[in-house]
Amino acid sequence: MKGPMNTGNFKFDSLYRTFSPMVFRRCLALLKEEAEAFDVMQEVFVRVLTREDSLDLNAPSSLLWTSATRLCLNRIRDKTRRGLVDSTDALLPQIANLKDEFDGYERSNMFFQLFSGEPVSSRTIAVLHYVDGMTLEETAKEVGLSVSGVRKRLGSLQTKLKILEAVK
Amino acid sequence: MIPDWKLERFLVNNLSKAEMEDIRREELSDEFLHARLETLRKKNAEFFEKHPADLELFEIRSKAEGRKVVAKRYYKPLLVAALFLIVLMPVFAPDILPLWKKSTVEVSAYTEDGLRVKGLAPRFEVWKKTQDSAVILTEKSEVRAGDELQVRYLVPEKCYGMIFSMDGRGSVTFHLSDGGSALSLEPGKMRALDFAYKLDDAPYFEKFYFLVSANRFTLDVKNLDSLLKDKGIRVESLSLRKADKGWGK
Repeated sequence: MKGPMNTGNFKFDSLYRTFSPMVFRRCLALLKEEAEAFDVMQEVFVRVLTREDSLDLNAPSSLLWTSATRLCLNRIRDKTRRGLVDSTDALLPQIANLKDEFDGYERSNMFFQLFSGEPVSSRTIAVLHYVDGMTLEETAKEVGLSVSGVRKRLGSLQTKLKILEAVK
Repeated sequence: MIPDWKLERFLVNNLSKAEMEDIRREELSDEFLHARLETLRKKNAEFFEKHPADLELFEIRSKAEGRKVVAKRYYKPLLVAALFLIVLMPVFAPDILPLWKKSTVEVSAYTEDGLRVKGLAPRFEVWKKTQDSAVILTEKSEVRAGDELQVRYLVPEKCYGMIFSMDGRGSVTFHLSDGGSALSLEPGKMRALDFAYKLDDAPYFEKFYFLVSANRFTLDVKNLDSLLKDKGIRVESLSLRKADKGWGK
């Protein structure tokens, strides 16, 4: 399903009718608020339309799932920064607030330190593996990396976590 | 237990054939799994009842089109403006062009106190002795035969350089060189030449040159033009006009 999906194009309609409930539930599971989940779900599809020339939709489930995950993490992070979410209570807000190379959020807890310097997709990988319970193979397939690549990143994170725990 | 994400993929038929078949088979024998899948199917129907697809598709397209319009309206003109600036600035604002050109000698300098100041080029100054002091000369300053001039220079780092002047008769006088070859210059504070230079009665002008390069070079007066155009040599110059003849009249 690669290529243009202009206004009126049947493929985009079909994509939306098939996958929007799944994307909405994905957002709801992460955000816990229906209105917000619906908002992010819409955003996922708007982005599909605006990036129609560059998206390869051969595996729409993976693309939509990871896009929704990334946007939800951004939303959680923004809420945390505004003091609307307690980032110390649950795993998800902590992951959402991890530092990556494109933002400069302060390191305020173990997870900030744990993910420091990791590539951008580390947050998504962490959610897929630790929150969704995907295996290494499934995670790798989902994010388009090799299994060894995902294992290396997670292994590196585990090593850092042990070091941090030892220091504490 | 099959994770939720995999059941979602099952519902949209986005699993491998083997996985799809496994779950189909398991649903027939596992009531709990069947109930989970039925719940999701009901939620799908409820979702479209609450949010009609046609209406939502219209809204999503409107948002997407709005962003494309914004992109065309703002991003493309900005891109064109940036390209215009890069391509045409050297034509319409040639004075700015040298800012993009790399000096043959790394640009940084020393103050009078010997402190290193980054961002300045190798430079030289020509001073004219007055009765009780001295004045610095600028481009096309007026000078006369008999005026005593003192030259000072500084370079930001170790390099090769020479200072010479050419007068209105075409005569070249070396002020800093090793028999026409560039000298090795040491970085540091502003240095004055060991001797002053007394202008003769040559007409029209006296033009001073300060040539600096990372490599050793020699001046052949016959090929002065080609040397001044050498990209590996940085050229600083100062033209003085003779008051008694030529420009000064």
